[in-house]
Amino acid sequence: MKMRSTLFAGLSLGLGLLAGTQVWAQEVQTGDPVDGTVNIDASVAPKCLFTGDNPVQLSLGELANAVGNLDTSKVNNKSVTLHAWCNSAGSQMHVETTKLALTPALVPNPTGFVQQVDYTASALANAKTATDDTSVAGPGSDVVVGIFTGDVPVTLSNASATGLLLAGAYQGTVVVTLTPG
Amino acid sequence: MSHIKTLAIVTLAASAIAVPTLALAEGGGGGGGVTYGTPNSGNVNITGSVALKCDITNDPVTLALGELAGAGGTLDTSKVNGHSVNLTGWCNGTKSTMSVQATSIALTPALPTNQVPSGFDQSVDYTATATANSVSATDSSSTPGAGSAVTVGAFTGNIGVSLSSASASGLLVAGSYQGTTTVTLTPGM
Repeated sequence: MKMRSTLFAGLSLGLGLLAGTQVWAQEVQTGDPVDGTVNIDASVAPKCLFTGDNPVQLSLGELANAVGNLDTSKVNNKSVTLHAWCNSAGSQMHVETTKLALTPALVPNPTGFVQQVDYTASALANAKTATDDTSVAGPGSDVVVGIFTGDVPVTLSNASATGLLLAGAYQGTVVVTLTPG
Repeated sequence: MSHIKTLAIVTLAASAIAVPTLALAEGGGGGGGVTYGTPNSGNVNITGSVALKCDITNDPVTLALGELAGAGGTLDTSKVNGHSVNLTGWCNGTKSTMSVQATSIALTPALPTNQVPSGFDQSVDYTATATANSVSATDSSSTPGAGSAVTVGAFTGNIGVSLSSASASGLLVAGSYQGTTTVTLTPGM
């Protein structure tokens, strides 16, 4: 009899707990859902970058022909390739050249001789070409090259020098500038 | 619930601040948002050279002196002295030099020495002077070898060659006389 009473009491307690748990579970499931929102901000800055070798060397060799004048074939169509990229649609490119000049210069310049060679440099990027001529001060006009990555070949043309070339070493530069925009 | 609302408000406020900040950065200095970012340059260094060189472009030239003997059969120095001719040349180096080598104006073909009659001569000595770029080099045919080199630098134009100080001993053997004056330009820098 005592055992029955204990069993009953235990069963009642178990049922009571089960019922209580069910009630608690029903209360959580019926609560309002809540959301937490994380807004993520990030950006990529407009940028252009020359990769690979920079500067690169373009060696033209002997500039004079047999009679001492400029051999234009030693300059025209000579090219070298830079590598670059720009990541924004409005990116621009321009070229600035300096004369191919005797270094160091000779002062005064002997009559009948020249110590500078003018030329035009063209840079090609993303099928757009920017040019500059050494006979005109300052850089050439900007062209929009947009978003691209790859080769930027630089080619020389229109070489000119009036007179006999003084002997010595000649140096010039072509600066290709990419401006992100 | 109240805690969640607070978080949402803070996030919204941060976004409101971040958006104009980004827009300002993209504005890039008031260029209307067209240009921004830092330009990047690729450089091509171009080198070339011009070799040292000199050239004489009208080589050779002939200086015809005509009859050398005077009425008395001896050398008429006026037929040699003061006669000149121009070569044309150039050098492109600042330390280019010039030298002259003169050979006697000699009977050609020469008689063997033992067959030259006494009292006769078959060669005429002289001095040759070459002038280029206002600098002169000389040589006398009476001394072997070339005269001293002089620096003519970079020049282009005439190289005047003139004869002087002609001399011969005795009567001149009849015949054809030939001599040479060689002007040598050596490029230097």
